Amino acid sequence: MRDDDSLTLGRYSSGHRNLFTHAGAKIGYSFVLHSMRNLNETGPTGEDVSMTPRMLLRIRIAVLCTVVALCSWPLAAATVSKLNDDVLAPLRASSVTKRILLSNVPLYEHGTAKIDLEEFEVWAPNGKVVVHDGKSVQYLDPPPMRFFRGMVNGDPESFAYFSVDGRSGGIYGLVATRDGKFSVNASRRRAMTHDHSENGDRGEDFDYFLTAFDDSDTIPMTGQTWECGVDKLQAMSPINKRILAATDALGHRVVAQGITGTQSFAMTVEVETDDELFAAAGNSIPNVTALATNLTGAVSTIYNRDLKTNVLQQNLHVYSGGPGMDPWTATTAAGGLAEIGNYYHTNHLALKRSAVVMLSGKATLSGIAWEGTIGEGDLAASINSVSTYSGAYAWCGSIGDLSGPFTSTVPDPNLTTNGSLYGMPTGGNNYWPLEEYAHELGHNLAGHHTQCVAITSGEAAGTNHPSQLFVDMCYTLESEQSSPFGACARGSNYTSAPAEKGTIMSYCHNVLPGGIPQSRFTFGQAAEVSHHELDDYMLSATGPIGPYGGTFNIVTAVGTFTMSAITAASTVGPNSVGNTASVTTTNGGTPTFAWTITGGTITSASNIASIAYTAGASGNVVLRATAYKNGTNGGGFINGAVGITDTKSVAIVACVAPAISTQPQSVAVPAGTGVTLSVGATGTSLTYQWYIGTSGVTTTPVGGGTNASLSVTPASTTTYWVRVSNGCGTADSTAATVTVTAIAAANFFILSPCRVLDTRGGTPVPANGLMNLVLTGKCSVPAGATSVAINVTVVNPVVAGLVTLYPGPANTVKPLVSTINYTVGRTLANNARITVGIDGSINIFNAAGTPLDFLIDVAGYFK
Amino acid sequence: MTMRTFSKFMLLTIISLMGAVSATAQTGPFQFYAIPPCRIVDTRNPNSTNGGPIMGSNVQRDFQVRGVCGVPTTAKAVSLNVTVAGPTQSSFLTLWPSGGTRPVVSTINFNSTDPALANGAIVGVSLTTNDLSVYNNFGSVHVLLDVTGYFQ
Repeated sequence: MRDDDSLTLGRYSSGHRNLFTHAGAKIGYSFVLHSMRNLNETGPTGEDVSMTPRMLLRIRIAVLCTVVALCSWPLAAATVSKLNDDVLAPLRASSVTKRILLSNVPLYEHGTAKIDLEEFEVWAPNGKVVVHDGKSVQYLDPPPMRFFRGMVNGDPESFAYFSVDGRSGGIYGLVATRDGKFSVNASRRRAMTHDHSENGDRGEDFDYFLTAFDDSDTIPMTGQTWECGVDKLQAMSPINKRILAATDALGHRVVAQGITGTQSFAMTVEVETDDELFAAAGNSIPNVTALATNLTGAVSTIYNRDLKTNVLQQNLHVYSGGPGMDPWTATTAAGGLAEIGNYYHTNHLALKRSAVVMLSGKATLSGIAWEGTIGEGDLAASINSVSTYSGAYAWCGSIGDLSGPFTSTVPDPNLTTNGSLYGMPTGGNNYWPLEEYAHELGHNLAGHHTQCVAITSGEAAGTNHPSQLFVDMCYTLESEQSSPFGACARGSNYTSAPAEKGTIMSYCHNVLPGGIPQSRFTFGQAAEVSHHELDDYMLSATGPIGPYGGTFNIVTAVGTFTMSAITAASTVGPNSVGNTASVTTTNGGTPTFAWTITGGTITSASNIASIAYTAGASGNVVLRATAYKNGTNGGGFINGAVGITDTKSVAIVACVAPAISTQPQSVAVPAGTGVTLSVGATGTSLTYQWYIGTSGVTTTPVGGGTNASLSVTPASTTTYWVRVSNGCGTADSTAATVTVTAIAAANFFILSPCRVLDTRGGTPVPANGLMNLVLTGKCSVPAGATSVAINVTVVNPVVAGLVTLYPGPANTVKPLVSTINYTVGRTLANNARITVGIDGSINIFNAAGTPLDFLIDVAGYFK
Repeated sequence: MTMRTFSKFMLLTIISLMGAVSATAQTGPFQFYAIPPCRIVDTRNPNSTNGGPIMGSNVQRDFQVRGVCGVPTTAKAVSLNVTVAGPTQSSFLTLWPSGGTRPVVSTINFNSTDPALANGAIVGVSLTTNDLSVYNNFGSVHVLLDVTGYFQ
């Protein structure tokens, strides 16, 4: 049985792992630029030699799954179970902390998992849902969704993504571990009314289901072939697999210095859809919005884990005008890619973005993207002899194609069965959209198909062979390396590749039939080559001039960018004005802030660190703050390196005027002795201010005296009072006088030794607590004694600690001194002269985690 | 009677030859003034007159007691609690009024296994600015002095 805190999920044999682990991985090596040049300049045809590296990039397109006819699809064999509502309750809590631990998530047959989550932001600042209905264009604010990402405890390959729908309260999630994939979906217990208001639906209206997928849930493609590049689209020489140049002492190829722990990146993605997706989503703008947003959120979770890269959704374009009312007429993936390049060249040349991703509902059964083009928005190129504009574009087909081979159910919040709501897949085929989005965007980031990236030497570039190891350990026989895909790897001998070596950029693990059924949402282990290939690209792409001379709308954050939790009062009055809320950041430079509010109105600017707001009439005010670190390149474009988010719920409570329930008490102390005055008061959202002087006279406030208690050490006799206030009134306490008595000369009087305290068999001195002991009248110590000469004894202590004796009364401020230190099991004594308080008492404070038996023997007194 | 007078005379002579005042020369009677407990020395604090550094082996340090923690400059002796913390070796401390020869007495003895140990004492203070001397015999150890009253 596996413990939920130490899950052993590994399928790796040590032998496999060693193959991919290389010593001294942190070497500087500009892998991307030079190896690509070299590869092409030595190509077999020689046609590439005259081309610049930039031109070469333009012909680098990758296709995922190209042959339709031979694909077949079994029914999914997923296991669906009802999920205990308590498991997800922390995500629905009215006041959610930035970090959440979900416990007892039943991911395993014989155990549960803990999922560690942080809240994050998917939308870029100022991002909009842009609705094109064929007649006009509407700009809608993003929906009130909240996003969480994280990992399963103990599984570094895992990822978890959850979103909470702010309108319905429904929770949707996706969890991938090394061993399996799971989705969390909500089903309504009752039909939803269409006039759902902000407060009209709650998470309790849902049943939650956990769907677990097994190996048969993958997408099998019988007889499929695959390729490394997109050269078939070009009348140019093929770009074949990549072979890494550097080797370590063991002869293993090594790459990249890797992204360090203090760097992170962000890229903003403009997301396009089409009328086919709109139709598949039930002609619902919220459905398309939720689908795309959840896909981007899940992609960002993967990219953040592996590449420290936050993917932010900038504008999401929705086409609601019906069939034929979008700008997209192409019927193939390559055509779609060309079309979108031309469209953005014509219509959005100046729009700052890192990439554009099309989520198409067309049943085209493939995705396609330009490789190594992130931030490059307008590169002229030709595809299929048609002059088009290329750049950082990714085209993902068959998203929401309900009838096609890559069946993916589009979200429908009205489903009353265990449905696929808001883009969270419930069947194996439904991983297609996430797989495709992450894969094609990976090409924009210069990610190659990992079956084409060799990590050991042994073969020349341009061929693929079993003797050569590849990132995902797929290979084909040389006899299969022929037309129509040139020398690029393809074929059927991939079945020996281990399932756990799959990556997002792998063909054979993602879409091939038979023996390698696991699609895997990872760019590879941190030590492995595919990961570092992308790391290198990210690092080289973020300079003022990228490796290909472009201006990159991608941001590097050096140092960990953090945002505090929201600071705001926990309750506010109905319709109260001038309430404030604020956050602080570190390592943010000049960050951009974005605040949203429900149950109230922001009355200040909403893009600053501290805002002012007016509360609503009742219920809760929910404040949400996001901080984005601004880019240092990209032409001043705001593309946050990190979008950090926090949410705070403030209760709207009718104001109750303050009233004093316990007055501060007068006290007398010797000079130099501190005392604590306190007041008890009733009322809502109370604030306190202490003053010196007559009650009601506010000319002399006490600096820092803003709590219910006040600790002071007056030099002379002083009178204090406190005013308790809130939004609907004030109450003044009576005055309390701290009488300071002069230190009097005293003579010593000897007593017969007398035990004045013995806690054995009675009440010991409490752990980290105080015992007040009145001495006068005991053992012949008279009233007026200023000090006592005593011997103190600790009896058989259970732990180590110390005791401080100081004058009473009990509210005297404890001085930072010690009277006796003790260790475990050692009965120990010490002698002391302890000043007696005005009330004839002393305080005994035990600084230890366990109660203590204590003796005090009096030998004499001073008076 | 003659002998007593003589011995007292001899003692004063010796003291005057040393040019310093020692505890044995101070006379009474003095009265006691109880004060709120106050930490007057803590060698764990940053280096200063009454702070660090830690007491090393065979090291004497002179601390200032009069004028601190409400002890007046006219005080002749103080009631205090001496605490040792983190000794590296078993050792002892001697406390005496500054300026005189270190007397052959011990104020607290401790073992290297004691994380912290305390003893109460009444010690005279001299008229020099740094008026209370502390000597550590072996190893290094932190010293804390908490006063609870003074005599004058």
